[in-house]
Amino acid sequence: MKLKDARKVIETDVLVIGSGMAGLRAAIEARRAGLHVLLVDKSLLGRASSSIYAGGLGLEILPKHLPYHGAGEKKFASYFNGTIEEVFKKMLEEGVSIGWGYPYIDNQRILMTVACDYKLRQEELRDFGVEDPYSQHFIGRPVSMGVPIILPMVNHFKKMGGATLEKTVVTDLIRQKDRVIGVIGFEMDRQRFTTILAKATIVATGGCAQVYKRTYSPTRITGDGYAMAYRAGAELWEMELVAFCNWTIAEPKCPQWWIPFSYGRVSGKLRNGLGEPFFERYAKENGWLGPNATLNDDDVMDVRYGKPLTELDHYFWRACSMEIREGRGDQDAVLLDLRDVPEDRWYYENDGITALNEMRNFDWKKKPLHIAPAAEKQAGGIYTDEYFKTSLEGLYAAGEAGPGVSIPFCIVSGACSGRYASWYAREAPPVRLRDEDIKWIEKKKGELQRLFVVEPTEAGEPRSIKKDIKETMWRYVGTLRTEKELEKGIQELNRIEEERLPRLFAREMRSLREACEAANMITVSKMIAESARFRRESRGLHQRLDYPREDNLNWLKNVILQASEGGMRLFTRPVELIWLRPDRG
Amino acid sequence: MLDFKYDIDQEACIGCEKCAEVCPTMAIDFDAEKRKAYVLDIDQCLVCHQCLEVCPVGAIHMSGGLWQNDIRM
Repeated sequence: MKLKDARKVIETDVLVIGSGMAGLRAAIEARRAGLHVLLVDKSLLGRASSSIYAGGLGLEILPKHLPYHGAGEKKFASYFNGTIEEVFKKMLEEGVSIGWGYPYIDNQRILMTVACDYKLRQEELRDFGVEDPYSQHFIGRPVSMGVPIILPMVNHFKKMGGATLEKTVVTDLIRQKDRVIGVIGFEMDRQRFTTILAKATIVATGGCAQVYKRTYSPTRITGDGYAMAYRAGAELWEMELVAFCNWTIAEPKCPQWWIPFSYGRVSGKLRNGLGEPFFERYAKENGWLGPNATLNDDDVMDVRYGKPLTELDHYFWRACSMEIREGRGDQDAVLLDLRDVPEDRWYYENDGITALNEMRNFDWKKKPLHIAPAAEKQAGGIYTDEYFKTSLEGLYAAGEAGPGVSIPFCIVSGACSGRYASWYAREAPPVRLRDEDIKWIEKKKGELQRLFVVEPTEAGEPRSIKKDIKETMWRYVGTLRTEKELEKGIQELNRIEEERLPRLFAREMRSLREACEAANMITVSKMIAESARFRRESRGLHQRLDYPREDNLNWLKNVILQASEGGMRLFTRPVELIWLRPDRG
Repeated sequence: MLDFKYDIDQEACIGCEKCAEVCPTMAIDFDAEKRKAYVLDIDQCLVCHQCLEVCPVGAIHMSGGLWQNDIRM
């Protein structure tokens, strides 16, 4: 197979890579500013990630009247419903909106933007044809909850006259001095190599949770944006902060799907492989219990442990991982016992558990369900300032690819980056390929073409390389980390990179995409492992067994990562404590 | 207990790859040589119905299981 050349170079004002929530929102915003916008996706528009996951919007900003979250529903449902100051404080301390749990090391300016802006941005979704931004009408869809939000946005963008390219894989950013002037990649359907020149480029490729064996992210979430920004020399930050979700099914012959916050689930009991309760033990040791914890199994979890569920979720995965690590799990999982949950607590009975397991002949009313933590999202990402501009001129980042994560963050960062990028594109000098750029593009094209020539072997099979990366990451760079394991993990990743990457091959366009993804996954995995080794403390999502304390004296700073001639360069940058600072340390 | 069945009609399939593109768990894969989509691992199916929504020729048949319309509140 041979890649053809596109007839001509595509030119646009603003290029958006990725058509999830953030990418679509950015594209719409840039188009609103009256510029020519091209939206590129490596799969089908809007179908890759957010269609499945935008349910988060419903969960995080849930209407108060639904008796959905148990006794603590008010506290949870109103998570984003406080005043700007309250929301800002909660986000910073618990890191839920932007980072999902890395207290105090967020960019406070970005957090403030999200706190001020998310309500407006959510209401604004109505302008794009989203019937109900508060997502009541898709409660009850166990999966693909994002469809009612994403598809209207895709249609809206097309109606506005936005240009789109589906199934077009962006492989690299073209860098000219300190500016990104476009991208190269290939169109799968036309089987051709493409160059796109853009005055401003927005990366909205999403996260990288697929580098883990246990994850419920869609298959295409392989961290391509991180890897290409890294190769272009942009700064990335806080890559060690991977969010894990405890409530993920670990039954054999069943997808690793998460169990939604339903009244029934929060009435369940957590047990280890021996059938003993264990969360209470860890909670007492570490002071995770609230002052009014009843510790009564008949109560729902937030009453039982005296804290809101959002906060408890930070502790559940730690306790479960610890229990599994100490060998008290059952088949690398713990058990969620739902047998004694009274019928009337299944108010919201058609949730994910019901829908998934009834059709798999699994009855959670008869035996306990295996659950275990799984990678959910990447809280770090491409470093940006509060204007969502990266360390390179003309390159912007939004959503999970950018500095944060979560749906409120996606709509806010999408809108802001789209607006700032279009202002930049309006003023920026025109882009033109120089001779050395053309040479570099030819070289990159040669590298892609070479994948078709390599002799197909077992060692070079993209899917098997992916599988190896996933196993390695889960084993050595998983939920609970130690220096020794991280080092072993880095060694293993280096070994995969040196031994297997040169043998990577592709047969046709689909496997060419898989090959590119596998190569990106290695880069991203190494970033996560190296950053995790670098941060010698435990903070929120990043838990080190050898440095179990949060160390505000030495580590109240950001870990920044950048490509340099000698390989990966890691350094820290102090956090600007503009409005709030931690009480202790 | 529901009897869940999933099937891609190989004769009707026109090889547009759409279902394999949207499948979030790789339950469906695409055979590039035969130019047909096929079920790789039905155990991974999340029943998200995205493949049904995108298939232009209705080659995908799903029966049993809860339909999303049924389970909306």
